[in-house]
Amino acid sequence: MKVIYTLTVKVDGRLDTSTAPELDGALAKVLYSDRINDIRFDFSDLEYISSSGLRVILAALKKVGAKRGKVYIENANATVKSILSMTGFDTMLEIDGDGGEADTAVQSEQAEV
Amino acid sequence: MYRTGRGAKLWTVITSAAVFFVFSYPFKMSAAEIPRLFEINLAAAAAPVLGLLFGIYGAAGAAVGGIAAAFFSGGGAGDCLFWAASAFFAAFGTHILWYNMGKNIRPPFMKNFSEAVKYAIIVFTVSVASAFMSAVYFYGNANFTKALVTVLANNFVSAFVIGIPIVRFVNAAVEPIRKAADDMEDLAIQFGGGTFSGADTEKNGFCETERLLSALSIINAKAEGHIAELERNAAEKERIKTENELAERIQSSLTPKNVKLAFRGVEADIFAQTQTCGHGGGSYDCYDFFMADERHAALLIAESSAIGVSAAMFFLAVRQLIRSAVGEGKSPAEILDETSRIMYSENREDMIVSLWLGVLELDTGKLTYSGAAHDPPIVMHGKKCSYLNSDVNIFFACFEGSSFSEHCEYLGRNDMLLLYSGGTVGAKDSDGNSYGADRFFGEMSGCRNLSAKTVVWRILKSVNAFCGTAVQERDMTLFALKINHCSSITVQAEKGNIRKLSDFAESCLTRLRCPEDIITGFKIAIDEAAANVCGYAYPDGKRGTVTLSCLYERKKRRYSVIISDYGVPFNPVLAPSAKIDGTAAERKIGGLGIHIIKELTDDVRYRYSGGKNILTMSINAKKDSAH
Repeated sequence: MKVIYTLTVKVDGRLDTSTAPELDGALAKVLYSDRINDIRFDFSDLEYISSSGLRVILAALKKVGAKRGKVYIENANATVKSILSMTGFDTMLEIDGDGGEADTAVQSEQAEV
Repeated sequence: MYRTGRGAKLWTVITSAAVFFVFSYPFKMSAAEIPRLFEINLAAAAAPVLGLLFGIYGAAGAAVGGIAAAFFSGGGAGDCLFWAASAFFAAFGTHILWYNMGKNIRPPFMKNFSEAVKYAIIVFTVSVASAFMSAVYFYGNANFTKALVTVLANNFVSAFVIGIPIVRFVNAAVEPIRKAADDMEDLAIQFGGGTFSGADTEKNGFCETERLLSALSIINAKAEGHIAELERNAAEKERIKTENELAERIQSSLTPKNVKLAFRGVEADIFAQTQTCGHGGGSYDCYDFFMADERHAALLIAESSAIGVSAAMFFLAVRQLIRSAVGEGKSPAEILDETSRIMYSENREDMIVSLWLGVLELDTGKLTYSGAAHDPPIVMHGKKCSYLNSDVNIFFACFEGSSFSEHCEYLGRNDMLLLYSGGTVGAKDSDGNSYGADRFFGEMSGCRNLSAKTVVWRILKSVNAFCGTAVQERDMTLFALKINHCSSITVQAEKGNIRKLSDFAESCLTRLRCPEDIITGFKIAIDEAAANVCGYAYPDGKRGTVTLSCLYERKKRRYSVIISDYGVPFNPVLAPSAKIDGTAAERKIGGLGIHIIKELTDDVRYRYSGGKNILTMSINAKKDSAH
């Protein structure tokens, strides 16, 4: 049985030039191991995201994408969704968890920003 | 030496004549009669006394009296002539001798022994002469010696025995008048009526009345002069007062007191107050503020050493020149150079003028300023009070050539700028102590978050409390500018400051009643644009600023955020767009920022102007929005 580790990241506030480095640093800490396959971003309390935030997501996506992992975006508000779509990120990300994988053996990690 | 008119002299002559006549007539004198030895002859006493007291006028009177006495005694022409000559000689001789003999010559008061001796010698000499004159009648006959001796003895004894009491009596009678005359003369001297010499005057007779009158007339003349001068002074004072009132009216009519500046999203309030030092003060203050165009507010304060209408007119001209120069978009230093040069030729009264001019760019909060030897304004950022960094430069319009330097400072929300005239910091209390910069700063530091008006009143109150009742010689002007809301913020271009820009934009746009979704869009766009500035505008570790301002364009019904920097010219609008399709591996993040900006906003414009990259991002207001 293949164990899929999914990292859940909850991001609050704004994901912009000021905060992106913090998220970047937090993700780097947990992604150094190859055990994490998927990343689940909980954006329920994210106000907005800018390209600096997208850069972090893209970096994470490249990391897990190499292992065919996926990045899920959940509960994003309209603003965040529109940014994702206008930048074509929606095509690379699984938005609002509709591609739901089994929740078996979920290794949860939270990074609050 | 002053003399009164002929009237007094004529009266002296007439009075003397009458006295001599009354004294000598009873003796029915005739030149041919030889008086008995030691017969007391009043007439013999009268002549020297009159001469002594009234000088030549007394002598003349005695002569006239002698003629009259001889005539009424039935004497012939020879008798008349003899008595006239004899009386005149006795009188005038006494007078001449008295004022030419011995030391410490003074009028005959007959109060001490030496005066009596002097008098005795004089009357003896005069009597000898008289005796010889009388004896001439008897020359060649036996009566000659008898006449000589008798007349000598008679005249001398009479003059001595009767003369001294008379002189003393007259002196006593005249004493109060003499004292009054002395006082009057002193007074007249005080009035500037020249010098008096009582003794000189009295050589011509016993003339206390004359002295009194002459002193009085001098005082009178001088007093008239004084009164006229007082009236002139009063008129002059009235004129100066009127002029100063006029100047004050010009001063206050030219200067707006309480103005709210509103430029798009900016709100600043300005309050200024001049407390004039009153009439005849030593300085004249002037201030002005106006919108040079829709983006620039100009602030002016000046102080001159001259007062009144000339100062008011001078500043009127300065104000107009500066207003038009600011309107042409010149920088403060250029304006000061130009106007100082022009006004130098107009500064005919050699006024010492200090002046400070600042131009506030309302959309960026950038204050550019230049001063001409004016006290440096105080700026309050939060709790921190400090002088505006500036050069002293030279006085305004006082030198032919002039080269003024300028500086700039960024003012943001809640910042306050305080301009003041030297008379405010230099206000004196009754002991001559100055209010001083320390008290000023102390008072300022308690003025955080107060309106411009409150700050001005508070400082003025503190200055006035310090001065108490001491009369101030200089105008006091306080001029405060408070940025209440500002659509612009300037920060160092560092990534850590970007949040400040978007926070500022949020509060500013909220005040502009911008809908929340538009604000969020702007916040993202600002993050993109500012990140670009912070990353690339100032390469090689250079430091620089980034300025953000917000506004609502009513006509176009859109909100705009303007981001400017002084960095390397870069037009993000023309930058290549990011690739937005393809797999993650193919994606690059560069160019995404400007793509997001273009997507989020309805219009993005870039221009490079005045060394600035200016990026304007606009989002149209929706039809149902508050605007």
